[in-house]
Amino acid sequence: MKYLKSIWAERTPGYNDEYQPIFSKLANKSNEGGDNDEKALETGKIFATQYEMYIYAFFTGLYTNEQQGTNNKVTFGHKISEWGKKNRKSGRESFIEIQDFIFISLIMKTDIDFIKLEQASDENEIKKAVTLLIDLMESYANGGLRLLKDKCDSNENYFISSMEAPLNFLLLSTTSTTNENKL
Amino acid sequence: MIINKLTLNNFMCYYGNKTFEFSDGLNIILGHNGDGKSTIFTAFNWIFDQYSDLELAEVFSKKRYSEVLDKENFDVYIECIITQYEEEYKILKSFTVTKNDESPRFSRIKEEIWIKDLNTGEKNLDNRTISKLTQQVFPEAFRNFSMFETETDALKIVEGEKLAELVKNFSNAKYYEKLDEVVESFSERADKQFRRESKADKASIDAIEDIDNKIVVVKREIKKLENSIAEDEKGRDYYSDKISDLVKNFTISEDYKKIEENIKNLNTEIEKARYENKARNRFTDKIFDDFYLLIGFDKIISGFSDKINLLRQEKNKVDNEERDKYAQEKLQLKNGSTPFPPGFPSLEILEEILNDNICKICNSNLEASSKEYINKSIALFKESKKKEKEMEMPIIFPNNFIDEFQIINRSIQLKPEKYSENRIKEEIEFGIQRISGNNSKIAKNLKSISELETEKKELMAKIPNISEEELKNISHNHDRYSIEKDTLVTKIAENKIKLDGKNGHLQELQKTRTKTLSQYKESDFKKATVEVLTLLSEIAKTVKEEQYTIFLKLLSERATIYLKMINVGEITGKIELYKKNEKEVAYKSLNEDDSIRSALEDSGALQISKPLSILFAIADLASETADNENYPMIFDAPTGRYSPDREKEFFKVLKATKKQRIVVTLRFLGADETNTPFVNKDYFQNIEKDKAFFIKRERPFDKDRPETINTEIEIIN
Repeated sequence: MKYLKSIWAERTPGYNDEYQPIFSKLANKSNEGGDNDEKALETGKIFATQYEMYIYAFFTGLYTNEQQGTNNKVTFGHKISEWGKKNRKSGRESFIEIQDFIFISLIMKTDIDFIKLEQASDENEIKKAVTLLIDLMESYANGGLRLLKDKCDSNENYFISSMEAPLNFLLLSTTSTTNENKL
Repeated sequence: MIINKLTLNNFMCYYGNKTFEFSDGLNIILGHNGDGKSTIFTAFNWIFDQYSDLELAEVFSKKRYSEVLDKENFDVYIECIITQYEEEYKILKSFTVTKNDESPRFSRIKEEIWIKDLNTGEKNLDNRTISKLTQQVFPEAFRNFSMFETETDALKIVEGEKLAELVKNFSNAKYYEKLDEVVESFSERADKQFRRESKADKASIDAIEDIDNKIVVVKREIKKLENSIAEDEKGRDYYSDKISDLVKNFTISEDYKKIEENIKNLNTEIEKARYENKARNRFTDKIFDDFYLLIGFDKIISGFSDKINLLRQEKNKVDNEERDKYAQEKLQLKNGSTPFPPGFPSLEILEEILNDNICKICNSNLEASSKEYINKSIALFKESKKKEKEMEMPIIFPNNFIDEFQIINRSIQLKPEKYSENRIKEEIEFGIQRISGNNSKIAKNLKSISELETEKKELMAKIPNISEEELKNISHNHDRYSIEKDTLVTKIAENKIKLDGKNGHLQELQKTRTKTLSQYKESDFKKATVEVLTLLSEIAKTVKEEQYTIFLKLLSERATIYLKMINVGEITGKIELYKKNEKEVAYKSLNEDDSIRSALEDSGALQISKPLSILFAIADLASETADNENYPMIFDAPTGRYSPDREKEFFKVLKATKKQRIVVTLRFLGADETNTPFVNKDYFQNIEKDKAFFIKRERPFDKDRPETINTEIEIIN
């Protein structure tokens, strides 16, 4: 039996290259496990890995319903199935379940005709559907990244001003649909 | 001893009869390499050294040999005329060479000594061997310091065993050596006598020896016990002091412990607070690890569930429709698929009719048209059967993603209460509060610790003799020290009892010994004789040593005088000869203030003149100590590194010693265009000397053909 999630998780999503500076600003360069958490602390980064920031941006975009189409796509070369997989030196646990939550979000939000997809015997049909899921994912991530960038543009040190700032920002994103000014 | 004449007859490069008539002062022999300088040394060695290992085949003149006819012979000899005191000795050492086809033949070596009384002119044949005579006229010890064939020989010889031997021979030490022998011989005799008598009183001697042995053992035991007691008493006092210190400081110790305990508790609290802060500070980590990301996820998940349910329903609907469609088609096919009308024969009968070609109904042969009809009917029948077979249920959904979604939907376990906005806000607020609370706690504790540390230091300042470690373990140490002290006290008491016993035993033994000894006074006296003799021997040894040192001191002083004489106008420092070990003598250079002088401070010439000065000093002192006898010195002049002025000075000193010196050298010589040597007279006439010889090979010659070589001697001014 083919699993759509498995096929999807083998892909490496990207983001628009205009957000590369904000990745450099807020995330450790590496995507491996190891001592990235300590490194992030030492170097003043918010996110231990690039994909953590990507997930964060995705959910921000999702909750605020911010989407932005792909334009000059760049990736950080780390496929979804690897995200949150490794245990860290700092004692952090793996968080691969987050892959499920992203997938659920995409299935919930996509317009793909799943009844038709269930009936498709052509492999290409499935691939096309997965590409649509990735496009949607990138669209939310880009949307979230735009919000992050806007925040940094207005307040350069916002995310490093306090340890709880990134969490606060996320909190605000969940309520932004009701109050546009918060973010 | 003076060497008056040296005659070489057909000896090596000296063809025919050649004579050096030496002055009793400074003789200089000039000669180039290969012209016969070394032969002079060889000649002296051959005649004076009985161990000279010269091969006769090497010694005779090849030129002379080339001239004689086969079976003819000629004499080879060295004749040396020397004077010592009032006597003149003519020493002759010779052999005969006979020419032979294959190789020359040699006679036995002949030695002859003539002695002439210089006062009466009377001549007599001396029956001694040359070596015997040599021991008298030119002893080996002197020869060692008189003849140096090369520059370096002289430099090497002034140190080491040979010099040590010479110092021993010519210092007054040798007289004490005799005393040593006398004392030794007396001691031996006395010892023998004593032992002989002892045998007579063996039992009593044994008794004393036995007592002596016992006394030695007991004394050793007493010493051991005394040492042990002294050692243990030190230990006991050490522990006593420690204990009294500790007792004095019990209160301080208690205070110290309290401070330590407080610091420890404060540090534990700091550690806890820091640990908690570290965990609480990780708000960003919690976004992922604790799924705070799902804060707005409830809408998504419910939307997802709804969507899955809808999809499920839709899929079921499509599924049902497809199944119905199939069932209907199948039924249709079934209903209209019978190819043979009722009453028509079965397929088997039809095939049999075709096979037999006879109609089973009418029993007649089949007509072609009938045959065709049957064939068509069979084909139709088979076609209909095939369709029925193919009409199976088709796969409606090759994929099963909706099932997958449903499984995911069921498996995820959300705890919305954990990710609710309020809950997370509370968490953040609480975390921040805790962190700030912890931070103030840490600051407060650090301040307290610093205060306590000061308090601790003040406390420690009151007891400078006790370490913190000791203070911490004061009660433990008190117990430990008490145990150690008690152990030592017990041991001391036991040993003292043992010591009393041993001392008593010793007194007993000594009493017994005195009693026994009083019965054998005579033996005691004999023992004392040996002791006196031994003492005498030791005194002799000491004196000998002193004499040795005195001689070395004299030698050093004399060598320094020569050194200064040879190197006028230069800062030379001093030479000091010293006993390197029992067998060797060495020398070192000192500055005027007796500090060690580095060889780097000396010029090359000064370095060479040091061993030479020692040699001159040896020659002087040896002659002074050996019945005022002088010995000639024959050496290759080590002036290669001297400036002309220094060289001139060197020969001046040499002449001033007023002793016979025979110096061979290639200095003062030049060579013309035909390589014929000549004497640089301008230079040489400024050199002080008593007599000079110039030796050179007769021209023409071929250095590769020995039969062309003949050295000639010329006396020059």
